Amino acid sequence: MSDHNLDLITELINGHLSPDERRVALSRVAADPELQSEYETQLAVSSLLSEAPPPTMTAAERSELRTTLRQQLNLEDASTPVVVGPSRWQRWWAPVTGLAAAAAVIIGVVMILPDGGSDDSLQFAAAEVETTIQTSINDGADTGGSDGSADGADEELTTTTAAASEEFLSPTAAEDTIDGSADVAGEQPPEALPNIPDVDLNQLGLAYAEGPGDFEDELNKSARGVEPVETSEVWSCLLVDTGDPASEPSFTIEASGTIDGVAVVVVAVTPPMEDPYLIALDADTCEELASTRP
Amino acid sequence: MTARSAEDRALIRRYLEGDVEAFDELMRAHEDRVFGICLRMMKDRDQALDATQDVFLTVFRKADRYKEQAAFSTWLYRVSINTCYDHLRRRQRKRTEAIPEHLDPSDPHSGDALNAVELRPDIEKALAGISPEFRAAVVLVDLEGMSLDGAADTLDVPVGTVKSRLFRARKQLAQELGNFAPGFEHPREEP
Repeated sequence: MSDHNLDLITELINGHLSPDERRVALSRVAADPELQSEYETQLAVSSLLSEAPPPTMTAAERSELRTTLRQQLNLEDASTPVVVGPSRWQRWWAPVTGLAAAAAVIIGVVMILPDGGSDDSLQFAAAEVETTIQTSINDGADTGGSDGSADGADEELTTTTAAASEEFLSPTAAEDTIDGSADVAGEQPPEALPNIPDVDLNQLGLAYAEGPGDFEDELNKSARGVEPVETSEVWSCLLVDTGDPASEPSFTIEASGTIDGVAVVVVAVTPPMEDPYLIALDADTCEELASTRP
Repeated sequence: MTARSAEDRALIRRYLEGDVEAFDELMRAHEDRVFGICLRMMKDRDQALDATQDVFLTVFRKADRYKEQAAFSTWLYRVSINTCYDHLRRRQRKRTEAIPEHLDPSDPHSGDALNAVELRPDIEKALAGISPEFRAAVVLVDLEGMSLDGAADTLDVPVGTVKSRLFRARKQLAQELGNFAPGFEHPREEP
C-alpha cells in the first residue's frame, strides 16, 4: 500500500474531505479492487470500534479518585498540625558532612533500623505502591519522546508524562525545572548511615533522579516479598496547616514495608517552591525516621 | 476557541487562585474521558484508575505552567496518553508477576475486566495485541472520536504519522478479528 493510497483511505474514513473531493476519492478507490478491499476493511474496523459505548467510572471510583486527588493536592481544609517529627537521621546527618551542597542533590530513600541493620532488615515493598512518583523531579529531564515511527513496541516507549507536559510549560517555568540527573551526577555521594552499612544512598538517589522506573527497580531490589503496610492512616500524619495553602507541600506515598516490626512508609514531599524530597515515616506513630530534605 | 476550551482556561485560572470548586468542575468535565482513554490503553480497571489519578495529579500540580495557546484538553489528553505509556512500560517490567491471567479477555472468569472495558472481548483482545503507539491512535480516533489533527496534537506527532499508525493498527486489528473481507458482515454485539 503506497503512502498516497494510505492517506487516501484514512482521509476518506476520518478526514474532512469536501463532497467533491470525496466523490473523486471514492471513484479512485472503486477503480482499484485492492484499494477497494483495503478501504472496506479499514472502514469496517473503524465502524466497529466507533460503535463501542464510552466507558465510565462508577460512583465509588469517581469518589475515590476525587478524594485521593484532593488529599494529594491539599485541597481539603487542614486543621491537624503536621506530625513530621524530629528526624533521627537528620540529627545524625547534619554534623557529618556539612551537607549544604550534597544534601541538595541527595535524593535517596533511607531507612533507619531500630536495632541496627542487617542486609535482610532493609526491606521495601514498593511494587504495588501507587506511583505518581512525583513529576517534579523529572520536569527538566529530556527522556525522549515518540519518534514518529509506527513500529514502536513497549520496550521502545520512551515518552514520559513529564516530557509531555513540558511541551506546555512557559519558558520561565521551564527554566525553573529540575534536571535531577544532571544535579546528582558529579556530586559527592553521601556516606552510608552508620547502622545500615549496606545502604547505598547515592545509588538510590541516582535512581530517584532518573525517574519512576529506575527508582522503582532500585526499591524492588530490596522488596523481597515484603507486604506493603496499610497506608490509609498515614495521610493524617501529613496534614499541614500553615495558614497559607499556597505554601503547603503536596505528598505522594511511594513505598511501604515493615522493617524489624516497624511499619514504614516512604513519602515524596513536594514543597511549592523547593526541590522535592523523601521522608520515611513510622506509619503507626507518624515519627519521621529519615529524610532527604535539603 | 471552543466554549469548552474557554471554560477550561477560566477554570484553571480559578483553580490557581484557590477556588476548589474549579477543581470539581474540571474533574466533572474531563474525568470520564481521561478514564476512558486510560482504560482502553491499560485494559485493566484498577490500573486505569491509577493512571487517571496520575494524569490529574500531573495536570493540577503543573496547572500554573500551562500555556494557554494550546487547548487544555489537548494537554490533558497528551498527559493521559503518556502516563499510560509510562504505566504500560512499568507493567511490562513486572510481567513476570501475577498480571496476565485475569486480563485475558477470552477468560470466561474475567467478567469484571471485560465489563470494565466495555468492548467486545474479541475486539479488546485484538487491541491488546497491537503496540501501545498504534493502540493510542485507534483509541483517540476510532474509540474517542478525535479528529486526525486532534490526535496528532495529542500524540505530538505529524498528522501523517497518525494516519500511518491508524491504518496499520486497523489492518492488524482486522487480521486479529478475521473475516473483514469485502462483503463480510461482521456480527454486531448484542446490546
